[in-house]
Amino acid sequence: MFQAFTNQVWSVSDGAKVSQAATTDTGFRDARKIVFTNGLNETATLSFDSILLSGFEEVTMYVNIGRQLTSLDNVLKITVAGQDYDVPKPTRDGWVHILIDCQALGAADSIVFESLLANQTFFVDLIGARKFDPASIDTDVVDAIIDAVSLDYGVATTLAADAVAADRAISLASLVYVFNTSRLRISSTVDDVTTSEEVDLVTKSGKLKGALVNSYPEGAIVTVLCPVVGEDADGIEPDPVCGVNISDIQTNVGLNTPIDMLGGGGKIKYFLGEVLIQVYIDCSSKAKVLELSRKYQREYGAEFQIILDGEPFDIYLDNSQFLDQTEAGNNARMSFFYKVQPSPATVETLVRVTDLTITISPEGA
Amino acid sequence: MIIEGLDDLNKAFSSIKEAMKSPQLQKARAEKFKDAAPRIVGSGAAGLKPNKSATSKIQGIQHSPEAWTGELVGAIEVRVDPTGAEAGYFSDSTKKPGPRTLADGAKSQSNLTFAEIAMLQTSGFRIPLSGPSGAKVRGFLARYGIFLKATKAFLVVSARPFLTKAADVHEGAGGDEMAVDQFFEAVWGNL
Repeated sequence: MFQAFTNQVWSVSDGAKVSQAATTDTGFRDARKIVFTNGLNETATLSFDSILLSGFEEVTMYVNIGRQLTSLDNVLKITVAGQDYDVPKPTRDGWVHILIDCQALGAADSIVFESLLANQTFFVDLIGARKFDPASIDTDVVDAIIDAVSLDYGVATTLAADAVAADRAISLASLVYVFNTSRLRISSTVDDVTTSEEVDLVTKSGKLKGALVNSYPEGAIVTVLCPVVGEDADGIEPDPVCGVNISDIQTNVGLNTPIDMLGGGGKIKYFLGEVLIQVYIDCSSKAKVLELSRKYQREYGAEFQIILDGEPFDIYLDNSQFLDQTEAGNNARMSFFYKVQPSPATVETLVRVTDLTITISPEGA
Repeated sequence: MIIEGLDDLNKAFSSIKEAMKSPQLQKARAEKFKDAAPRIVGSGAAGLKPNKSATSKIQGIQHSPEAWTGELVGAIEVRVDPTGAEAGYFSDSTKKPGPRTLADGAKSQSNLTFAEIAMLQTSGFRIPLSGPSGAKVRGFLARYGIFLKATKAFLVVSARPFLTKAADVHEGAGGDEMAVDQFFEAVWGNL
């Protein structure tokens, strides 16, 4: 279970800068670029809502420092809950996963990054705390896939008449590829102010499941969505829909794996076994299932990246199946199957030995 | 120095090497799974999702998930090609299961082929409950006292990937390992 620190706010000392990374190549979700230009010991501080770190196993973050021309062993100091951790000079370019054992730490509401070099630029991303939670390790995978997948159904129309807040029906200009239980996004922009909301149809004649929250003029854009939903598959009503299911849990337990922690020590973890994930696309229109499947295949298909418990993972297609409409009267459905290893369980925490005293005495004394 | 038996050992290694490359080994493993799958699914060991109340009403409370899959799983075949073998394959795409008797004594004859049923079970499916075809489904369910809300859009049937799960159980129980052992015992026995 990963908990991103909430309400994150960055502040810097003189001469330092924090900005959002310019391109997605430099981060996973919300990478920050930190620039220190004004000599040693400049700081960038990330403040957030106080969190009791002892309730988690480790603080996790990704840092991209790049190789440095320096004779120093450490290039950065990170302070969490009053504890200092030195970040060693990286030996390669790219993102480095930093883990800090936080089981013995108290509450924290900030992390301070202090430069040990006069000038340096680095990126930081995916900051939070996590712990192994058997209740959620498998559904975390489903949530991670839902976060990663976005499908464009490619159907839009407009409102054929004004719709007023609290209305329970709308009038659509075109019903092509709109079905009885389609989910729609209504959107309009007036004087540079955009109003938007999602609604569920009960019938394609325009009856809604709930009342409208906002008012929209005739001509407002109505986009048909393909929502991506999880394990509550039995209650799935939208048409079309992309569902993410766990269809099997395997028990091919992996070997114990040592994981290093910043500041010394580490953890021994083991993997409990893969889950078989089914991502399916289901729609009353076979043509739209085919179109959405091809879009999915191009965007995700054989391999794509998810952020699982604060860590980016590539997942690979194991198998796929196209189910045509049959005499059972079913919708066409395209299924993509993946095997994903959920986050590992911690077996042991290894603590760094800081002081070792050996008392010796001569033999026979 | 002459070490006796080296020729035999060399011959044995070559033989194992050939055997491991042979599609016959994969065929032996696939055949073993084909034999085991009906037992695993039929005994409920595959751990498939339990029936919904609607299924219990139609088929009877004693009806276990995929109880009829015995006929389906029994129909799977092994396909062998030059590079390997595959189990869970239906070569005759027109073959359909036989008629069955429902809990109320009514006869039922599926128009679906084994291949279609296997795919429906593997991925799960949704049947729209609107329009004329939806009315037919509602009518069928009403015969058994199952009345769906007018606002319910789909009859949702959960995925029950019986072949994948049977393969897990078969492998976990050492069935696949046993097939490999037995195959090599046969190879060694011929040396």
